[in-house]
Amino acid sequence: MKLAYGLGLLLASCLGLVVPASAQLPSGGEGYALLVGSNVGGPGQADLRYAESDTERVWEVLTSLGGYAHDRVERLLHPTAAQLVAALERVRERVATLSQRGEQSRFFFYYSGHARADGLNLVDSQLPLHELRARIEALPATLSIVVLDACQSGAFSRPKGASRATDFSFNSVERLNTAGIAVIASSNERELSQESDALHSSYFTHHWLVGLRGGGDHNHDGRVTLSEAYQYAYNHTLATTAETAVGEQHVTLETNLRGQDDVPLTQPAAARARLRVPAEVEGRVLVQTLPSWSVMAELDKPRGESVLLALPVGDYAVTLRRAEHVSRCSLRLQDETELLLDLRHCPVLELRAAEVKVKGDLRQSERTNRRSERLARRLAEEAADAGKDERFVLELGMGAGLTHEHTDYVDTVRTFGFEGSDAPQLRFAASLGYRIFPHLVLGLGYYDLEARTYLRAFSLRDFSWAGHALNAYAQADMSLGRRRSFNLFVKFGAGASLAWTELDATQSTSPFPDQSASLENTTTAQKVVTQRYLRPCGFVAAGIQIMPGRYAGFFAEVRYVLAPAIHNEFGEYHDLGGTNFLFGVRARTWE
Amino acid sequence: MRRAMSTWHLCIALSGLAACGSADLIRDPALERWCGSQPCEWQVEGSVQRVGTWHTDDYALQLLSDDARIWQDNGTATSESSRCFEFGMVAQIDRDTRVFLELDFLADGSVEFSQRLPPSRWERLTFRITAPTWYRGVRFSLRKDGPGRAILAELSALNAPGTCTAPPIELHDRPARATCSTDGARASASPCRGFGWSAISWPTSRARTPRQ
Repeated sequence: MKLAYGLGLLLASCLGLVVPASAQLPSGGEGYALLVGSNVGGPGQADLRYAESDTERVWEVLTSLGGYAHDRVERLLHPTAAQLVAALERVRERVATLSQRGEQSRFFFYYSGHARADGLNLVDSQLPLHELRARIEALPATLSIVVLDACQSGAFSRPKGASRATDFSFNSVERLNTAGIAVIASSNERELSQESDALHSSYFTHHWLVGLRGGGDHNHDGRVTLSEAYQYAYNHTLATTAETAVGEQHVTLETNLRGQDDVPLTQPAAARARLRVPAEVEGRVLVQTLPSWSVMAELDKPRGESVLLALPVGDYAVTLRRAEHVSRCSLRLQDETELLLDLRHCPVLELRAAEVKVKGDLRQSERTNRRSERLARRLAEEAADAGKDERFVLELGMGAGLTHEHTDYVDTVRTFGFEGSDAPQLRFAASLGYRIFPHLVLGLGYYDLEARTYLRAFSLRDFSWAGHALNAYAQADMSLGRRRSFNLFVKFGAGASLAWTELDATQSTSPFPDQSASLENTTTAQKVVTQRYLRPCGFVAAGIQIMPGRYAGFFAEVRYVLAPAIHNEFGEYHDLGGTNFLFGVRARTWE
Repeated sequence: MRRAMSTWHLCIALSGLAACGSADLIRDPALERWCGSQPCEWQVEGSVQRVGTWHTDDYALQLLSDDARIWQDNGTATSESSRCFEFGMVAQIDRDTRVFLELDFLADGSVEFSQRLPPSRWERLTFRITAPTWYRGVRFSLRKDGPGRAILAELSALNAPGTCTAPPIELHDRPARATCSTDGARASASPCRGFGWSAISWPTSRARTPRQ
């Protein structure tokens, strides 16, 4: 049998039919899954909120941890009964193909939506539970796992002919040693299944998925089996629904399995991104995604054993609640990494009030207490900001600007008799930015350009120029403290400059219509000739931002501006930019 | 003798400096004042026109016709006040264009000094000319001889006492009682012959051409 299976596998690989290694099921065989979610209620039933989104969460776990290939997991959202039946038929055909080749297969069915004891409520139709079961049992799959998250879904289970295998010992297998059907229902045939606005999910699906991610790995072998997942979901669903107004919800498990092994459902140890809660941590651990704050996992973590959670790559806030305080930290899970939760980077949210006896200087004690209170407030603020980020930033700065002294333009001005100073000048800058990514800010900035006045000594005429610039900019930065208290950045900007020159020119006038030969007209009417220029400009800058407060801080920046803003009739341009040294204040908002 | 004359020239120059300072001997050297189409402070002969330079409203004078000439008299400059002229000029003179700077120290129509100006592309030229040991008034002229482009943006002449090293311009046909450069003594009727000019400094900066 094994030889035949191996030859079959070799033949299938040559034909390109082998499931990719990343899609290898934890317990062998090729898997197909059908996930059905319907928020739409039937007559007299209110629409659900999270049934359809729960199918997406289940899809993510099946494809990332369960070994199911993306193209073998089908999601149906608010289908009709006919559409659901058609989808089951498609699965039957694919599984039948495998069966005809002697290959093993498994089928996973998940439903989240409205139901009654006699059937699933699907839009404006109903699929009787007995018909659904019959169709699933008729599939030629080696193993079928059915998960129902609906009211009175326990009625799917048959009171007779169903038994629970008594020996669920685990072993690592490449081939299914267990066949048959297993059904997990979110509640028994009399109970209602509930959704939680806090969890953005149904209670049962949430806890069941947390179990599959690793919370249910009772024996810490890196895999979560059917019974482990069930036990986890049962305990946590019962505990959380017991506190609701609707009442307790008992998850049921029915198995009609032939075999000796517990069925591994997921393999958290092989996930691409993992969070490990160390053995020494004790308390309730809450893991939430950022920035949505969706609950991904909630564990009652005892001391002594570490817990491994398989999570999608992304940003998370982890809150640890212990008897005396609550601490929270933000972290980022990256691909192909296992991150160990380090409580040293999790600030405390609450400080337990302690009884102290004041000895010695009471004022010193009061100062200490005030410092402690400030520290507590700061820690509380930082914890409240955990997972949050800057949004809008406003910067106002001034400093010194060094300009280009010996450009052809300036040399020409001097050649024609004008003289002036090239001393450093005062500069101003302002910008408004928006942080669109953790390390990227986009914004608009204004800054002024070089302004000079040159004087022609023997005539006291002057020639001057000045300019302003408006740029769009992008800032890439790296934070070195909590709440971006210390930021190193580089910034690039491009935009337009508006500059002008003014020359005291002599008007050519002869006010005397008939000027006598002896008359020496000394009238010199002056006019100011202004020439304006609109030209591109840009800058590159680097600096630091220091934010001691939540909303305000400082920055220092070195900026090189390229602004060839003005030119003369000889085609010579003058760069009004140069090197600027800026210092200023910075204000920000938080998301 | 030469040493005594140099000292004497220095005394004259210093006295001249004390008396007259270093004011420009040419009025409106930058050609800023215009009376219609002609510069107010210059007499014009031939065809000229006002043109822009590095700025459309910072004017220069273009000598258009082949015999164009401009001149300006300074009746107050004398050998006691100004013995060394330091000229500054900004002009555009094409390579084959012949333009002469001429000085007429008695304003009698006879030119005692004539020097062809070098080609230039809006560079600042400075040079010194040692004035005659005796003169009363001077006419500064700029004359174009033949075809070609010649545009003058600035012509200044400052009194620069004690800086000229070349021998003075010989002034012929001095009036009676005017001193001669050869003896420095009381005037005689002897004609004074020859003329000279000091070194001209040529700049090395790049040429500039106004945009057409």
